[in-house]
Amino acid sequence: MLVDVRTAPGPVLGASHALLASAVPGIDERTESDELVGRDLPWDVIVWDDPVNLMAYVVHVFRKVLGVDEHVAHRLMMEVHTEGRSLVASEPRETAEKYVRQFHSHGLQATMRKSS
Amino acid sequence: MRGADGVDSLVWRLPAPLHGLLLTLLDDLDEAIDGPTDDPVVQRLFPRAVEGEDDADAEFRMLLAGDLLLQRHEAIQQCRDLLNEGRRLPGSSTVRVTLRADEPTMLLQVLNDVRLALAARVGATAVELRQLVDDDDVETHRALETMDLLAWCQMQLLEHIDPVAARHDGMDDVD
Repeated sequence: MLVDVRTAPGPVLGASHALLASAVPGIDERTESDELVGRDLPWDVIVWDDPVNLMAYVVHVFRKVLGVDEHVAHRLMMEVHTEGRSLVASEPRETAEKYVRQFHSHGLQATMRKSS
Repeated sequence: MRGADGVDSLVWRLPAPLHGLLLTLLDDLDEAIDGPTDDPVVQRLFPRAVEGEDDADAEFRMLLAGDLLLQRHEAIQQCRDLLNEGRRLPGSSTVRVTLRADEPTMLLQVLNDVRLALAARVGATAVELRQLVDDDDVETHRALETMDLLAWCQMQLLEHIDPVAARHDGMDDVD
């Protein structure tokens, strides 16, 4: 089964799980956890199509930057190619910025936006 | 291949005219990335980063652009150094360039920047609809041919760096 990078649990979900696990059950604790998750809403990282980057090169960059396997990298690349864009990650802001920075340094057009 | 010093290395054999062309293109790129912010090459290599929030985008790009510009200048210079260290054997029309460690990856990335810059100069429409470019438009045809040549160079490097990714040079699905 392929791992879908867009639905795999990321650090935000991991952090909230850790908080819930360590919290004593009660209304107050749950409120604190909800507030933290709300503050750390993820940011979507989108890679846009262009007519220049080679398909194989884009697969290489996805493998290198996102650390995904060949199948996921190929699927994301094809989505960029056929749909014009692909949502490749949904992460806390700092991680999203890191991805965008790395994509730009590799010549890919990538943007980030607050997840809706 | 493994070099005599025990370090993994790759000997890249380049026809002398291509070797000279790459050095010229690197010089051009080095100059182009210092252009004004509304230059198509600068806009393509330093694109928008944050959607829907102009202030956040401006802040992020201001922080990123300096580092990225410096990184690109350094990579271009290192690539120039590598190419200049290439050896042409007596009587041969081929230049042998030895690449070690991360150097093939750096070269791959810089060659990609060169292709992006060339495409930005001729415009996306010409790149996508190259069959419709006027026969008289020599400059655009030359740029497109150079981009194809660089793509061939990139694939040679990629087959060494990441053979798995290099297989994906078409639209066939992965089994």
